[in-house]
Amino acid sequence: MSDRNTHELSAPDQTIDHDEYDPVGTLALILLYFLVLVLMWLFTYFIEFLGNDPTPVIIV
Amino acid sequence: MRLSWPQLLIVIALLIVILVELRTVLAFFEIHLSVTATAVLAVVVIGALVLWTVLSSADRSE
Amino acid sequence: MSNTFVDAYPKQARIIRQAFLTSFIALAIGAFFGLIQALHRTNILRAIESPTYYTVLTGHGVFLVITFTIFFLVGVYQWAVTESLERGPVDMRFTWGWYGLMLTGTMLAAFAILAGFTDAIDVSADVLFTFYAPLQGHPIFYIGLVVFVVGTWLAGADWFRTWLAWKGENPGKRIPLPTFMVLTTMIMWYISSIGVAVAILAFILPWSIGIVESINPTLTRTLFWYFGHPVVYFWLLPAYLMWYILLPKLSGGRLFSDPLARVVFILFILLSTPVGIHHQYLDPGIAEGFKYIAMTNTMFLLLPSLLTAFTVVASMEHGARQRGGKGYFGWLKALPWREPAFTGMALAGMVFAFGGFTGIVNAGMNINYLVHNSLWVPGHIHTQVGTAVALTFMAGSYWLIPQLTGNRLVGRGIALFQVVLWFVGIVIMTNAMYRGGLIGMPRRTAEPEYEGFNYEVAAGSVGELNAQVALGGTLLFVSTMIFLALMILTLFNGESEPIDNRTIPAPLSGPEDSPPVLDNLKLWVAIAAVLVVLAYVIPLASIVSRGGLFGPDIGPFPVFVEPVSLLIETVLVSIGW
Ligand code: HEM
Ligand SMILES: [Cu+2]
Repeated sequence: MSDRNTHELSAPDQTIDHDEYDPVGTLALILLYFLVLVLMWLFTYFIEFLGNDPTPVIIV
Repeated sequence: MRLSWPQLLIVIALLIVILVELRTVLAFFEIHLSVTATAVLAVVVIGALVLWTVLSSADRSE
Repeated sequence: MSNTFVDAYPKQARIIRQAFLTSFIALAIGAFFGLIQALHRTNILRAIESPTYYTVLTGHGVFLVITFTIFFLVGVYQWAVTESLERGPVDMRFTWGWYGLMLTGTMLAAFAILAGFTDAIDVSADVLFTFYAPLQGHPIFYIGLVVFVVGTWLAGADWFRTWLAWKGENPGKRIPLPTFMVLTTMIMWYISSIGVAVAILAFILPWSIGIVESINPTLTRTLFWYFGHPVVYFWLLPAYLMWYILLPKLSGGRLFSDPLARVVFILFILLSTPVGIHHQYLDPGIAEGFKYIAMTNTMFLLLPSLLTAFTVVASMEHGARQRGGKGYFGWLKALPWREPAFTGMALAGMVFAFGGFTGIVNAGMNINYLVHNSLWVPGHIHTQVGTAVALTFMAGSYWLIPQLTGNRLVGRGIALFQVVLWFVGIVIMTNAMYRGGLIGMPRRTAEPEYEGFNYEVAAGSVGELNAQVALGGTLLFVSTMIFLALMILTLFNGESEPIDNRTIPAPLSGPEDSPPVLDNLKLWVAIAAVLVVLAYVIPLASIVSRGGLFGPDIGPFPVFVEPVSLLIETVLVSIGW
């Protein structure tokens, strides 16, 4: 193959083409990411909407 | 070495980041870690990681 | 293995090096200003008088998000076009011409900003990078910005011209992906930068010179943000280009899908502009309904970023599997973490993914009220442009600079440390900024302490938050300096060769798998124009009909003629103190 990766630190040891490649690791990472996002939303909800009192009215 | 040096560096960085953020999260559950406590925790966790990485048989080294 | 970019295209390499040099000088000054801010507003070290803080902050904003990012962009884009079309510009003199214009504009604006440090010259522009009227800077500042933007327009024209010449020689061929990314970015830039050009040329500049007396601040702000949101993609898209083109290669793999990458860039043409009003949720004078439309469009804008996350991670995984990676998560270990260019970009992408969440918070009309103008916003800025973009640029330089100089990178191990240090520093600094913002600490202020008032800190104390900002900021500054030192050493590392050559492996799924309509740029421009008209014509018309083109008699709030003490006095008197 003419466009082989020649990078000394990252060049691959073997070649995997489109049909034999199944990005399950990507799927796993994305599911993990969505899980964290959901937790972050919950967090926001509890802090921002349940945790804060209404803006105090201060009359000087 | 269970991890290469670069991998170790990155795991340490991730641990620091997780500790910083975890401290914020815990505070909202009314668990307040002081700065010193967090620092001690960090040293312990990272120390353990480094020992685990370095003090293991060399069979898996890169 | 001397097959580097500079071997193949020495003339183009030269101008790209020049653009990077300008960019890095801006980075150096900007980072120094950042350090001053981080220490000043936390009251840890006040090396300057507080009024001078706004000169520093203007410099920080302009030098980092205009000069550093956009000069880097033109460098990377020149590289991408040359490499993927395998040819130089039609006329190199034109190329040097736009570079010269951008540089001239930068010098003018920089002069206006930096003159604010001395009373000897009666010029200053402490208007921050958003230059909201009625703040008024010296005309030189605005003229500089306009000249700079015109330079970028000509740069885009140069790339289109190169592409047309290439098309003539290669009839019927698909636009190579990197060039496609460059052209689509520039289309977005043309559509959006019109807004800021009109704001300056028609209103702010005549007003700062004194040709017109008054201004409509809502109008100029709206025109600014018409450009202000797309400009964030103007910073981000070169980083995306590097994630799509370089990261797969650096991971030891191939880009997963060329068609998907094209779709992402088209979505940015369509959706980047009709969202700007999401920066004005708290502006009076714009109806809620228009704000709601901007919010909806903004949420659609998440799509291209999520597509990018998928494509880029899948490409990295491809590399990891080729390198022998196994398992659902085990493959992560097989990635080339030793390579700083790879690690820096991967960490930048990770920060971007989580920083994106804070962007969704900003974009929500109701939650925005909680964080608006608070320190939360600089928190968001530093995770996104300050890391996703800046760290990607630095990491990318570890690969690009050797290609552009023919020299091997000096200190690969130190470079790895540098990118990791940035990652740690940014999390420490922004964590405190986010938390500070949530308790209501304002941004853009030299002295966020108030008398007779205490922040209700949810966790820890204000002192602790301040210490964290200062510590994080210091780590970032040190990291920047290490980066710049390595760049200089590499530049002089003459007797060596890069470890890699310039080839970019072809994608797993190439352009032949994508429908040709994706390359129909005219179609996308037309649709984008319709969306812009829908989102902006009525709001602009209503702003003008209520406030008039030149405003309801708003006089200037000049930050350049009167001494500041006098100004403060005037303000105090005017609010009846
Ligand atoms: C060297 C490390 C850096 C430090 C220590 C730093 C520090 C700061 C601080 C403390 C502020 C808040 C000022 C305030 O609101 O009062 C700020 C604002 C800002 N920073 Fe940075 N920063 C750094 C790097 C960057 C980078 C790399 C970028 C972008 C490429 C950036 C872009 C901005 C922007 C756009 C603002 C808002 C300016 C404004 O409000 O007008 N910073 N920075
Ligand atoms: Cu925006």
